[in-house]
Amino acid sequence: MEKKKIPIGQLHPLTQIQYQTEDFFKNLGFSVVEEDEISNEFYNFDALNIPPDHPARDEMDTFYLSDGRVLRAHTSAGQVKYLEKHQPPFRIIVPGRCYRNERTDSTHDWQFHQFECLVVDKDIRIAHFKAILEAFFGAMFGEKTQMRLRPGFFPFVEPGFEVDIRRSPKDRWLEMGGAGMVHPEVFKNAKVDPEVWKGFAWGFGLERIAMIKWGIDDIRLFHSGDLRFLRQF
Amino acid sequence: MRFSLDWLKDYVDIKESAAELAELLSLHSLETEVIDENIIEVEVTPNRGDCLSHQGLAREIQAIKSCR
Repeated sequence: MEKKKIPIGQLHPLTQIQYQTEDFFKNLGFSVVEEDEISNEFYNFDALNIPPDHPARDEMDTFYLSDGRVLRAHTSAGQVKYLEKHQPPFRIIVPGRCYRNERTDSTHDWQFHQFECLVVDKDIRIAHFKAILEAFFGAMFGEKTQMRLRPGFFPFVEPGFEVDIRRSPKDRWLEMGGAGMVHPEVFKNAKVDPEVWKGFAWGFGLERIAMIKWGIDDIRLFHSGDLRFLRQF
Repeated sequence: MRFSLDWLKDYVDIKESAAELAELLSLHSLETEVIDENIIEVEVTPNRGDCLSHQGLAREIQAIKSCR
């Protein structure tokens, strides 16, 4: 009787990127934390210094469930939840799936993956997160990768930055995501004393990293389930 | 929001081209794109309502230029 061959699968490109990212940060002493994908308005907005009448709520088109809870629009939704339960100092990254109710195009999808970083300690400055990020992008995209910080606005950080990278001086700057020093209001919402504790946070898209790393031009391919695409990695 | 360079010039002295001005604004305060030689598109964030007018943006440009 002839044996039937069972094809062996492989890891999804996003899973590969997630594992690589987790390994890098584990080596730096970060813990990997998973938070719930279903959050509520308090953790997704109010706790992050986005009150109900704030215009920044419009920027995140959130999915609301019929019982009033929300599908998290960003992994930052886990920040205050984690701060409430854990005594700083700590270093965590939170990889996970996020949802936004928006039209899809080649760079936007209604579900995507982010990895959030949150570092809280007594003496944390912008220099720390800049150095960690440069090391991370160097490991991910090669040592020649350059990074720059532009001013940006997110209600839950102050000051806030947009992070751009390019792989060689000839390339265009590509936007990676947002970062900044944790806003004192966010600490207050979690009953942590902002006079004592400082921290930084960022949220980057895993899809973005994968797209730059492998030169993929359409974000929708990741969830298309197309084996011709998936087998290439 | 789209801004006209000609209109901005009523309030502030601009010698830069649209591309240079966009670069300047992007790196100092708000993300800006060039539409043509006379029009730039500035993405005004919710904390910068003061830049939702030509006068307001002119003030911002002057501030950036005078601190260089």
